[in-house]
Amino acid sequence: MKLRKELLIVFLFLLIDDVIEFIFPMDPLYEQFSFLSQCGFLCLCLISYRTSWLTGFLFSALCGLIQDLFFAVGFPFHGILYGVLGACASFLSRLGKESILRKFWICFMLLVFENLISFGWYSMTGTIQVQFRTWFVHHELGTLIFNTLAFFVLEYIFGVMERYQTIRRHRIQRQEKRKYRRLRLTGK
Amino acid sequence: MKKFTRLQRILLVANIVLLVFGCLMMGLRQNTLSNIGYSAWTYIKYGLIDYPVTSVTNMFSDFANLWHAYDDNQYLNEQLAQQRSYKTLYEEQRNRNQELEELIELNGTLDEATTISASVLARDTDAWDQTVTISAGSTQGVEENMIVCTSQGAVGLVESVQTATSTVRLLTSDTLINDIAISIALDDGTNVEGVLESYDPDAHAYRISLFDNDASVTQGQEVSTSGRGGNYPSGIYVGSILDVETNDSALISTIYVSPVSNIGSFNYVLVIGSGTIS
Repeated sequence: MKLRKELLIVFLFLLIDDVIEFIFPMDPLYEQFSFLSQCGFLCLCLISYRTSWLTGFLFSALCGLIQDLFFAVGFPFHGILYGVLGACASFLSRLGKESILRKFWICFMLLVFENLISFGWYSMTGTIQVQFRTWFVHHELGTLIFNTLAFFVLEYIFGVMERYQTIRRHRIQRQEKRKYRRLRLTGK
Repeated sequence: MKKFTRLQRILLVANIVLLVFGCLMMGLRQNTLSNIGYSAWTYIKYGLIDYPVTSVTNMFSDFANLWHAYDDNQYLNEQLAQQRSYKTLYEEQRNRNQELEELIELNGTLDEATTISASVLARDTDAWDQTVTISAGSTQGVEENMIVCTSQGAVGLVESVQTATSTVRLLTSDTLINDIAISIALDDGTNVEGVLESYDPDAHAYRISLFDNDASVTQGQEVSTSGRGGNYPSGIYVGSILDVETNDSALISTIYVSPVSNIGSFNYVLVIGSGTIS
């Protein structure tokens, strides 16, 4: 997939996150159970997973800056955090054998890490004033469950897109082969 | 040595541009004197992200409201249907109440007569104008041949008595168990007597034979029981004269009397035994 498309996909999922947040708003007092959709972050993790660590870092940092500018507060917090986590995703993907379960655990771990750092950062800056346990039970658990499901949906979408790209590439190759054969036989 | 690939260079430039842009916006935000740039950015952000997102969420919210509107509509329809039921129920209860009040009034006019209040338990739809079952029997003192009245007047005779219920043969029945002696008060202060023999379904009236063929009775005159020969008192309203039939000698042979108006539908009755009406 081209960078342009990948960026568009991440942007689209960041928008979807925003819409989901509007539909299922967070409880600011953390008295009720709530969750936060992080499809955009999972998306950039999945993209960074297939790239080199530097590309992963730069791509994730760009997505993080977009997140900061359009969807969140605290510029350039997400830019730096996403950049580091994107580089981690890319680095960790090379350490073992390729499997969906491994990919899931890496993304899940990075998601937990991102949420913990965000919680620490917002607690430090005074944006949220809630105990860790309350935050974890009333918000983080729901977030992890929702995003676990979202991961598999995203993985499926990426798989479909990948297969579509492969089919398209093969079709182009076949067309080129035919073209060369015709060129060789007829000279036109 | 080439340090960055083309893709990485593009990403790096994009990162730097966004970082500088972000810093610029941050700087403008801090500077309270010139917030034009920041306002412009806020406007762009609103136009690009917030407004579309709000529109999409509003769409969901509108859809949800539409769903609620459907629920509300269902609820209101049910309420309306219930209201209609309440209205009919109210009207029925009001009619029953009126019927009971009139029966009490009638009861008040009976001095020595035996009166037993009862309600209609069953009325067969196949024999609507033949018999009814009432909620009073021998325990309450009901006896055969007692007259049964609604608030309007006489409607039947007790045909058979059970312990707690009785069967009433209506005056509109094909086979009356007994003839009913009647009396018509004339304008000159005298009475003319006769007997209610049967009901004519074609004329929708009782067929009554008068004992005095020379009597001058006219349409609209009221007919009541005479109290002779039956287990009921005199003076109970039976109906009003509808038509008078004369024979060849211009003598009255038969008169037709219309039944009481509510004989087709009544809920409460008064079973009246021998005695007189004051």
